[in-house]
Amino acid sequence: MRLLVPLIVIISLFSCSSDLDFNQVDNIELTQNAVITGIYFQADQTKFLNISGSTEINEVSIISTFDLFKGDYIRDKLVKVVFDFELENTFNRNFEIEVVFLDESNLQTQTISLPVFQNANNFSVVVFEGSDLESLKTSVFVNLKAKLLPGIGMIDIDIDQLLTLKSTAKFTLISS
Amino acid sequence: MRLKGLLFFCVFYCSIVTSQNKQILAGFDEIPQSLIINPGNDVSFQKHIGFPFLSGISINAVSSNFTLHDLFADDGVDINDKIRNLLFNLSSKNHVAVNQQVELINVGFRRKNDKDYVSFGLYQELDFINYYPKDAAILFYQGNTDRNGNLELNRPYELSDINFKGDVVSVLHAGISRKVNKKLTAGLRVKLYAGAFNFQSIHNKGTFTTVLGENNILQHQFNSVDFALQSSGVIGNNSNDGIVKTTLEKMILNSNFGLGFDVGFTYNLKNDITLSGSILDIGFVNYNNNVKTYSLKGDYNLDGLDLLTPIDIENPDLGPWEQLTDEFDDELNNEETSRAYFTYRPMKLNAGIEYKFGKKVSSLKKVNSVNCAAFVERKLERQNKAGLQLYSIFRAKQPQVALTGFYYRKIFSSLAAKVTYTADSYSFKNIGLGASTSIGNIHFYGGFDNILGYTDLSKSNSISIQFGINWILE
Repeated sequence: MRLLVPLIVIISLFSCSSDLDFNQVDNIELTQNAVITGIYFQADQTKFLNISGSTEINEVSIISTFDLFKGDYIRDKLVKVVFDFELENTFNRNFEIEVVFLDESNLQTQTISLPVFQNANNFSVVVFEGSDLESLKTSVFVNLKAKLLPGIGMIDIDIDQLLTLKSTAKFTLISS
Repeated sequence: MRLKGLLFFCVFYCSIVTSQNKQILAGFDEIPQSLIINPGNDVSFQKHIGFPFLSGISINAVSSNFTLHDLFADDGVDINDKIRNLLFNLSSKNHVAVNQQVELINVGFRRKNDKDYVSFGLYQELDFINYYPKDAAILFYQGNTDRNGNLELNRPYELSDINFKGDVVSVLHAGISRKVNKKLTAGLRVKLYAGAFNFQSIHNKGTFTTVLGENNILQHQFNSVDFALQSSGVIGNNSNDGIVKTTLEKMILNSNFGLGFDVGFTYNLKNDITLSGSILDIGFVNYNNNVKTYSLKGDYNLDGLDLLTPIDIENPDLGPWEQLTDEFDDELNNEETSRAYFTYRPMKLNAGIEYKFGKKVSSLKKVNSVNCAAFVERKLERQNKAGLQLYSIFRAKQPQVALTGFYYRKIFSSLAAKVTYTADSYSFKNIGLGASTSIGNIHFYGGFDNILGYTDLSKSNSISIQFGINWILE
């Protein structure tokens, strides 16, 4: 005791800390950017013709669940989404691609329309911010529509032709 | 704030390292708790009873490459820059570990043969180690992009960086220290572990990489993934009884039992030179109560959401999204199970050599006699000791090693002090101070590691305190 008590007292007396400012925590700002692979598809001429190949199908449509915005963290922190689309069209016909986002009631939240010109590579960048993004965040389904636009000559089932869509999505999340 | 908390936690990964090194207690023969560090310690007392809950309390905290001052100094530097520098400058070998022990009971007595000292007791131990998951932290911090938000193509993010383990156990132990001959004292301690909580994710493998794809612009590759997160008593614990009561209940009621043992020796090489060594916690705990294991294993390449995938004939109702998530789960064997698992205790190794010198001073020793209850014999011991101690704890990634030089002096018959200098991978200026003293049969001890750090705790890389009270019959 003769040594222990003074030892503890001395160490306690000399224990100190230089100036720290824990309020700096309030200034922390975190910007996260995630680039993820997106929707894609590849459709040949058979997708736009009936089984016999005698009649064109003017619209190919597919709907899918789209749960990317389901999490609270994403919903709270997401401030910007940038979709990058690459479209390759070897048909002698123009298309229009529509990417329609739907909420739980199947109501349209946002729509992306992409013109696709014949025999060409097409690139599109679509940005969602602000109120458009808030609307997009309520989406739980995505409906892709590939619309065959009127043109000269019918699609030939014996000629290989492709409509290809590739995409990425860049999510920017900010926390402060 | 949740994100800030998570980020704050990530930052601390790095840095605070707690070793379980008790260099001040080691070889301090006057202290009964030295038998916990070396069951073969050559103690001289006849009996000891630790004050319940007060006989042995230790809290250790050490930090490497980082202090609170680095982050929170009021220096005008933007805290976001400090965080960024920290996250990128630390390596995946940096880690945070916390160890805390409280003895509930510690009792010992010398057997009539005068050779054996038997000790037993119960202590609670919390142990936590978390290596800095550098790649995962950077991936969380700025995504799979660089500082400017541009995609980091072909950059593999290592899952092996994710390595943490924490548990709370109670340890019922009984040991014997036997004086084999004049030179050698050997000891063994058997331990029954009762695990209250455990969570761990160790031995992870695999990478996550984003590359240019063929079917889509990008492809996310999960290569050679072998990841598991195991927990017992953590998930699904909805008790509202408070952490202390819940922990105590789990220690008693949970059936997460394990076995282990410690071995040690003290050998008098020459009159004034003594060697000692011990290996502690050679054992395991089997966790089977309230177990949750989440695992991923395999390879998977994610091209994206294919919106013209042919419908799965077996599951025609599954849309592209459901097919994708099912494929992910199948290919990476994503599963959640409740299978029991066992963990090894973190094994520790202590070794030491000490040289006794200086004049001989007396200390009291009580010796049983046939004809009288007891008489007091004067035992002469050298006043000074100096030596080296080596400590190592075997962790999941690599052992942590510390080398300590010490000087011990018996100031009075009832007062001894020890000064240590410890060098390890975290600090080269760690000076410790310990003392052992008594009033009658009541014995106090205390030790502070890295006393220089107490002058400015915010810049300290190491804090370690050990203290306790025992009743000792010499």
